[in-house]
Amino acid sequence: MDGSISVSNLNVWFDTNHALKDVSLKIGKNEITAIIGPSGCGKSTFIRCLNRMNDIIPKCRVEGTIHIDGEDINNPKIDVVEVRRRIGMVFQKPNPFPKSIHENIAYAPRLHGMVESSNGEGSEPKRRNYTKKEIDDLVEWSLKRAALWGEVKDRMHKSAYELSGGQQQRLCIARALAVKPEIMLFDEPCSALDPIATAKIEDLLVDLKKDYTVIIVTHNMQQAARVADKTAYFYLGELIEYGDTEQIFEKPQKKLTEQYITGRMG
Amino acid sequence: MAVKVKSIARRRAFVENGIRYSFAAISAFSIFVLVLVALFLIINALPAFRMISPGTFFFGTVWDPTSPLNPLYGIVPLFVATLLVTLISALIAIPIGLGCTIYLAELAHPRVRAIMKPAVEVLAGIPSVVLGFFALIVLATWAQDIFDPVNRLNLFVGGVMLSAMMIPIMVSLSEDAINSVPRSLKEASYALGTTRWETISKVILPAAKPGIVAAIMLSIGRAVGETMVVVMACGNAPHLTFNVFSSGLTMTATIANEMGEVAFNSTHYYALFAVGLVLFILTFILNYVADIILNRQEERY
Repeated sequence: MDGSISVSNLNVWFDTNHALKDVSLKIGKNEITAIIGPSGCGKSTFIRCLNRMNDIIPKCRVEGTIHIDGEDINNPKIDVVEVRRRIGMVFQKPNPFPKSIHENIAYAPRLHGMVESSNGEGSEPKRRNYTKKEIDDLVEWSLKRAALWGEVKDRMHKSAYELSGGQQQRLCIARALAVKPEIMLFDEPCSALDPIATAKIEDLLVDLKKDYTVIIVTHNMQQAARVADKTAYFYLGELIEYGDTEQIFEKPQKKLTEQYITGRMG
Repeated sequence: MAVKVKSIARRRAFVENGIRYSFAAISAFSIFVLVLVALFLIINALPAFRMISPGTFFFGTVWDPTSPLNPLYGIVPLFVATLLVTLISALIAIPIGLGCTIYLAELAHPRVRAIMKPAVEVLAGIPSVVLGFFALIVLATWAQDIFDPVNRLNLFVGGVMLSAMMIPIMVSLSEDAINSVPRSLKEASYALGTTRWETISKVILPAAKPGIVAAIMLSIGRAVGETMVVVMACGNAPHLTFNVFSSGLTMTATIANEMGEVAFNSTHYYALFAVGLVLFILTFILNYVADIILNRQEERY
């Protein structure tokens, strides 16, 4: 398992609206890939395909293949729940559960249990229940990894809604990390945050890339330029250009990309 | 110019205040009506306690107001009958209503939902006399065949029919509660790799709990206050019984049955008002408890 993603001929329809058109790209492991483009271009739809979140939208149809570690996640035989365990997601608006800080993070691991051993490729890993100590350790580890531990360690049993917006978003990141994913998806994670909170999340993204494949949808081109290794530009449901971030921002090959980057469109 | 602006501002203030005061008057009127009803009940019920000792009224186990020799006004048998009918209907309606709500709100295919939701709402609109008639003719016969009850018309038949009235209210109110759980919470849970059932039971239901509890309380309130079905289906025998398969007389049925034939200003007349007052207080307490539960839930997080 390495967390590489290979998408080919991905098409998505919402009812009759053709939202993504023939998108193909390869995303390497331990890289940050930014998805940019004007509103309604299919950025969010694209990353929501990667963990099959579009499944829960009625009248949504997805075609094409998405290989993650060589396995096609659009294969009808695949266990969607298992796919989502391996791929964490952070949403546009911080969405902690109406529970305590501790419970927010312990929620999913407690349901999944701890992986005891994986019996080779393809088979369901063996799981057992966490002990209380293990849950506490996992919660601490996740919060440290999301750079939030110091700010919340004395109020673990307070409501998550008492945190600021930026702290809530880092809590959501910690919550996703606690499931031990290989890939982390971020859907405009900073659009509801102030510049200081945004800077903290960006530092965190760069730090996370050591261990995870990171994909981030962003409206903010400076953000893409600051954190991403690769950048993909989407326009009207099509992937216009994909390449190293530097090249996209400094020497865009396509006219549409250049227009967007230089602010003449979008 | 300055004068004109001033006059516009004054006119606007006049209109704004006019709107505010007229709405205040309308809402004050509805509270006024409620106070009036309560006062009317209390004034008419109080003489009962001058004629009957409160001890015999509240703890008396015989309700026999028409006895020529020794009329007795003990509310216990009526109270127990109301309690039993409500208990039966709640035991049936709460699990079914909850299951139906979860299915409609989270599991049903949109096309199934489009048919089922209006159907449930139509059920809420069936006049209670029709349901009572159905209970009297059909349900009572079925119950007779299956349970071999003491009386053909009994508390169980009434309770079952009442549950059919509770379910639609419960479903439409608690479905609103579930639908108002933000989609972002569901997505957060699904994205963590939880199953549908885990998400429903651990995220959606807890978040919707205050609304669901309120829905349950309101539908129980409806069962306590419902009259037509119990008059028709419960047999109306005013004896004290804990057997749900024997007939019984609920508080509402007592008032409905006896108010028409009672002598004005007699002890019996006032006693019926006292029963009404007890019913009023009971439903008031029920709503108040629901309110407390709702608030406590909100305070926690």
